[in-house]
Amino acid sequence: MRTYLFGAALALAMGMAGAAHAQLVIDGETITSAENLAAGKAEGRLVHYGAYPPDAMKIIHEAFTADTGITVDFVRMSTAPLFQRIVSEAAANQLAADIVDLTDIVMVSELMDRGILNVPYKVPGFDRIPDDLKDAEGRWYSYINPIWTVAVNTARIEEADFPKSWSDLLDPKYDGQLAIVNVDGGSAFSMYSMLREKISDTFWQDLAARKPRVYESVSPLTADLARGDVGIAITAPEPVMLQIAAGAPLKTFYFDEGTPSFPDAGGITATAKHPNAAKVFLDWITSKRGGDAVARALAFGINPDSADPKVEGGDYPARADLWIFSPETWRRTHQTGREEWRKLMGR
Amino acid sequence: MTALLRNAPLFGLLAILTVLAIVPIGFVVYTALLTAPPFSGNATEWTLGNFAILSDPRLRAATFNSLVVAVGGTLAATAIGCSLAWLAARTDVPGKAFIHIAGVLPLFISVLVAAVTWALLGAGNSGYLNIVFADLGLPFRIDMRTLWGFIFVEALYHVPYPFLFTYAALTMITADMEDAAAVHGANPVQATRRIVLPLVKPAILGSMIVNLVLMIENVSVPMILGGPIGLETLSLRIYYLMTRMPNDPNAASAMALVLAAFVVVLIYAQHWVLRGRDHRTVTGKGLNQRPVALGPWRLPALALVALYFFVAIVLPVLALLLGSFRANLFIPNSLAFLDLSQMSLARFTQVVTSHEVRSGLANSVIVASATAVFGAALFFALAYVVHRTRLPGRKALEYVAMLPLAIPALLMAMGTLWTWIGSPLPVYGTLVILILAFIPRFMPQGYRAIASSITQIHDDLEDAAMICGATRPTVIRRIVLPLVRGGIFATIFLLFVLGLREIGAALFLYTTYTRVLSIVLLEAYESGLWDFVASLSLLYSLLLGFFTLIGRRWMTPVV
Amino acid sequence: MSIRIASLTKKFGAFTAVSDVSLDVAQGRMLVLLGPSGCGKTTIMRCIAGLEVPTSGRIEIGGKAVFDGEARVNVPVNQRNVGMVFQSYAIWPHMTVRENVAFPLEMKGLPAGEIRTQVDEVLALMGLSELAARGASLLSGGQMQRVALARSLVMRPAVLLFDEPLSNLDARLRDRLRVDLRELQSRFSITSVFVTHDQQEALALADEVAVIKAGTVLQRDNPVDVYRKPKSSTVAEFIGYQNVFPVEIEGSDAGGTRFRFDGQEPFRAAAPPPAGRDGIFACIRPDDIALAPAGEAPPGPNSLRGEVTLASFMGPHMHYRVRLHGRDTVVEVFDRRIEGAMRIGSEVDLTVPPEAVLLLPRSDK
Repeated sequence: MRTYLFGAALALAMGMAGAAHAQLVIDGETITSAENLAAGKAEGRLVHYGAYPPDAMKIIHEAFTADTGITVDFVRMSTAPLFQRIVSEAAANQLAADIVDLTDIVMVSELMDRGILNVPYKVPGFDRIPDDLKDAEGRWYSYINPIWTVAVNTARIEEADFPKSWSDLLDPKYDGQLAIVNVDGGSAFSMYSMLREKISDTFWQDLAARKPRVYESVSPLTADLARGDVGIAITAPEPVMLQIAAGAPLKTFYFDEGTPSFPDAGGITATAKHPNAAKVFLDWITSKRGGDAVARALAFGINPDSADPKVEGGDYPARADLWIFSPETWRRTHQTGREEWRKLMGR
Repeated sequence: MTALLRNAPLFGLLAILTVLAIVPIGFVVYTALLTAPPFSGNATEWTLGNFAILSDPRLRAATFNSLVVAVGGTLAATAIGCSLAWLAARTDVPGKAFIHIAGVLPLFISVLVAAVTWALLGAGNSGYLNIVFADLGLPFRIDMRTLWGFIFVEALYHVPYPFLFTYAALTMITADMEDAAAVHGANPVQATRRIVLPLVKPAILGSMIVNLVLMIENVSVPMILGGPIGLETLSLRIYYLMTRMPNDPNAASAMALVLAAFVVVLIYAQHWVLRGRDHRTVTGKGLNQRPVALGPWRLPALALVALYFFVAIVLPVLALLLGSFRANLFIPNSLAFLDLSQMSLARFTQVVTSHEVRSGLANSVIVASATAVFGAALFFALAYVVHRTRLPGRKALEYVAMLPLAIPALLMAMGTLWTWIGSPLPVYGTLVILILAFIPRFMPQGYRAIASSITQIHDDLEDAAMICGATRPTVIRRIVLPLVRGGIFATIFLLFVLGLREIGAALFLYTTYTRVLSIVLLEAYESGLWDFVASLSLLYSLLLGFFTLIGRRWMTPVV
Repeated sequence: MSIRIASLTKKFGAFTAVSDVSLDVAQGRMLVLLGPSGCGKTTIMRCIAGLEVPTSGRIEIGGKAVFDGEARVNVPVNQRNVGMVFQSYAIWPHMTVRENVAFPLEMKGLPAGEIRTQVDEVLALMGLSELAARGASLLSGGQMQRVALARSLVMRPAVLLFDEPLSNLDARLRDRLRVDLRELQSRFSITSVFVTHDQQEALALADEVAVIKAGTVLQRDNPVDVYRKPKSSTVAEFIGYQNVFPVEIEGSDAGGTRFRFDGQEPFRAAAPPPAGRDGIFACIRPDDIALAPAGEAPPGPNSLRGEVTLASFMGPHMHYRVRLHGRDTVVEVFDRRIEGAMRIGSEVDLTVPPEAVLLLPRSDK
C-alpha cells in the first residue's frame, strides 16, 4: 500500500514537474512514447491476470508504478485454473483483465485462437526480440522467463558427488535420492523436451530407469529437498534460494550444456478497458528497465540488454546459456509428448 | 388471489433455493453431458463420452483408494468416538469436561491444517517424528504419505461426529431401563448388548454415514499427503481435472455425478436408518443414571484419552510452532528442534500481520458472518414452512435443502461460478459469490439443526396464539422465535465456524482481492512457502480452537 | 352466539375423519362431544376453531358463516374470536402468567391501561392474581389450565372450545376444575363445545351430549336421555351398558318382547321390539342385574346361572364378572352388598328385570 502511495506521489510529482506530454525516458532509454504515456496515465490503472508468483510480481509491479504512475491490480492463479478463469470470463463478456499471461505456450495460442489475445502491438524493441519469445504480430511476448536448476542438499550428497552436467543426473549413484516434477505443468514439459533435444534422445528413458521420485509440483519437491528427504532434484531456483537464505544446506547448479528456461507469456486482451495502460506496460516490461525489474524478481527479462538475475549465496546462468523452447515444436508435440512421458514414468 | 399470497412464502423459498442450489447443480449435470465447459466459447455438443473416463485405470485406482480411506477412516473414527462417548456418558471416569473437549475440538481444526501438520510430522524420513525415532534408535518409521496416513488423519479429525451422536444417545438412557434389564435377569454385558446398544445403534450408524460422505469428498488430505507422490483419490482426481493439465471440467463433472450418486445412496441409507428418530441434540434429559464403575481402570482410561488428545491436538500444535518459528526446513536431528538460533518469531509475526493474511482474515470473517446470519434466516424460513405449515409441495423443499450434501464442494463451487458468471448482477469477483456458494454448502446441516429446534415446540403453542388473534408473522415473532432462540444462535455459531474454515466451496470463486484465509493458506502451500503455511496454520488453528472452546456447549452438529 | 354446523365433512387424504356431521349449539349452552379416541370429535372442534379447513360443509357462528365450502368462505383462525383451551394447556413458557393472559388483548390492539385492567379482572376471577408475575412454565398443571382458561375468557369470545382439557390432571383436580369450568360457563353464558372421551365428565358438564363414532353423530340428546335412552347398542355401550349381547327376537306379546341369546332360555324385555328383526342387541347395565348365591335367587323371568371369575371391590359396589355355565359369555354385575361378597369360583344366580333390558340395533356405521 505504501509503495502504491509512493508511486502515486512520484507520478504526481513527475506530472507536475515535467511537461504535460513527455516521453518516458529513464537512464537514457526511451521506454514508451508520449502519447502512450499520457493516454495510459489518463486511464490510471491496469488489470493484470498472471501466473507468476505474487511476491515476485509485486517487485515488478511496484517498479512499474514507480516509473509510470499507473497502478496495477493483479490477479494471480496458477496457469491451468487461470486459463479456465480467463476463458469463462471472456465468454460471459466479463473479462476484467487488460493484460494476461500464462506459462504454457499452447494455452496462449488457445487464447489467440479464441480471439481473447489478438491485439497486435509492436513494442519499441520488437526487432531485437528473438522470434521464439514473441508472436510475429506482437500479440504476445514472453516477458518473464524463469529457469530451471539442479539443486542439491549438501547434507545428503557430498561434494565429491556433486553433479557436473545434465547427463550426470542419469548416474546410478543418485539412485533413491533423485526427485523430479510431473510433466503436467507447461513449464515442465518444455524443460523435459529441451533436455531430450539438447542432451540425449534417450534422456527420458534413461531418467525413467533411475526411478526418480515424481512430485506433482515444485513446492513439495523443494520442501522435501530442503528437509533432506531427497538429495538432488530438478526444480525452480526461487524457493531454493529462500531456503538457502534461511540456512538450509542447499546448493544450486547450472551446467555448461545450458539451462532450460520457460516463458511466462502474455499480451493485451481484446476487451481491455485500459488498452493504453496495457501498451505502456508492454513497452515497459520489454524494455531494459523492465527487464531489470524482472531480474530482481529472479527471472530473465525479454530485453537482451537487461540485467541477469543475481542472488547472493547462489549464482544464475548467463543469458547466453539459456535454452528456449520453440513454440512451434511445443504446439506440435505437447499432447503426444506428455502421454509418452507419463507412460515412461508410470504416471 | 389469497391462495397466491398464501403460497407466496413457498414460491419465494423455492426461487431462492433454485438459484442457490438447483441451478448450480444443474450446471454440473449439464457440463457432464457436454463436450466442452459452458461459457468457454467452444461449440458444445451433447455427449455421454465424459463418463468414459470411468474406465481409466488411474481412475479405478483412485476410486479404490477413496473407498479404502473412507471406510477405514470411518471405522477408526467411530471406534475412537464411541469409546470417548461411552467413557464420558456412562462411566465414572474423572475429567469428563476434558473428555468432552477432546471429543469436540478436532471437528474445528481444519482438515487442511491437519494434513499440513501431519505432513510436517510424518511425511518421509525427515518428518519430525521420524527424526525423533531415528535418534532414539527405534527401528520403525511412520509414513503419512500412504493410504494409512490418509486414514490416520481423516480418522483423527472426524472423531467428533460419532462422539457427539453417541454421547447424545447414551445420555437418554435412564437408570430405569437398565434396572428393568437387571431385574429381568440380565448381567451388565447382556444389558449393554440388548438394551444400550440397540438404543445407540442408530446414532452410531448415522454418524458413520456422515463421516463416509465427508471423507469421500475431502480433497485436502489426499492433496497434501498424497499429491506430492501421485497417490490419488477420486476427489483429488476431480480437483486435478479441473485445475491441472490436461484439464477437463466435463470429465470432472461426470465423475462428480458418479460420486454424487454413490453419496445419495448413502444419504438414503442414513434416512432409512434414522427414520422415526427424534433428531434432538443433547437435551440433558438423561438424569437419573447410574454410571458404570471402572474401578482400577479409571486412571488408565483417562490416560488413553489424554494420549488421544496429545496425538490429535498437542502434537500438531507443537509441529506448527516449530514450523512457524524455524524457516530452515533442514533438521539434522532431534536436538535441532531446540536449536533456538534457527528460530525466530519474526517470520511468524510477519506472516500474521502481512497484508494478505489480514485481508484474508477479514474476508473470512465477513463471508462467514454473512453466511451464518443469512443462512440461518433462510434455513429458519425453510424449516418453518416444511414443519409448521400445510403448504403443498413443502416436502420438496426439504429434499432440495438436503441436496447439496450429495455434491462435492468443488463442483458446487464450479456450478456456482457458471451460474453467476453470465448474470448481469455484479456478483462475480466479489465476496458475495462466496457467500452464495457457502450458504448452500452448509444448508443440509443448518437446516436440520434449526428444524430440530422448531419441531421441539408443541404445535398447540402456535395454535393457541392464532386462536388468540395473532397473525402468522406475529406468531413467529412472539412465540416461535423466542422459544427457538437458543437453537438458532447455536446454528449461527456453528455456521460461522464452518464458514471460517471452508475451503472447497471457495476454490474457484475467489479473485486476488476476495481471498479468504483458507485460500491464502492453500496458495502458500502451492508456492512451497512452508514457514508461511505453518504460521498461518497455527494462526488458523488458534482462531478456530478459540471459537470452538467458547461455543462448545452450543455446537452439536445435527445432520 | 349460537353455533351451527351443517354437513361438515373433513378428509385427510383417503381417510374420512368427519362425515356429514350436522350439529347446533344454542346460545349459552354447552355441547359435549363424547366418543373414543380417533372418532373425529377433536377434528370437528378444530374445524370450528379454524385450525382445520373442512373438506365441505358450512359452519356458522352467531349466524355468520365462518366457513362455507360452496361459497368459498373461510374466516382465518385469528379472526374468529373463538376461545380454546387445549389438552396440553399450550401456555407459553417464555412469558409470565400476566403476559400470557394479556396476549389476546394485545392482538386486538387495546391500549396498555385497558389491557391491564381487564387482565387483572380475569386473573382475580380465576384466583390467579398472586401468580401474575410468575413465569408460566413454573406452574402446576391445574394452575396452567386456569391460566389457559383465563386467557380464553379475557377475549370475551363468542364461543369457547375445550379440547379434553382435564385429561392430563389427576382425579381430584379434575373433579374440582370440572365444577369450576361448568360454573364459569353457565355464569357467563358462553356457548361452548367440550370434547372428551370420559362418559362421566360428559354427563356432568353437558347441556347436550353428542356421541360420536367414526366421524358421525350417533345420538344427540340431553344427558339424561342419552344415559337412559340410548338409541343404539353402540351408544349404549359407550354410556355404561357394559352387557351387550346379540339376540334373536322370537316374538312379542302383552308381557313384552321375547328373545333368545347365547343358547339360554327365552328372555323377556319389557319394551316393544325395535323395528326390524336382524342385528338387534340386548343392552343391560351391570347395576340392574340382581345377584344371589346359586339357588337363593327369587323366582322371576330372565335368570342366568354362572360362576364368578372376578370379584373387585370398587368402593360403592362390588364388581363381579360371571361366566355363564357351559358358555363363553361373560356378564358384568355391580352389587351393592359388600358384606358377604361372593368369592371367585362361587356359583351364582343372576336375575335381570325385563324393564332393564334395552333392545337396540347397532348404529349404522
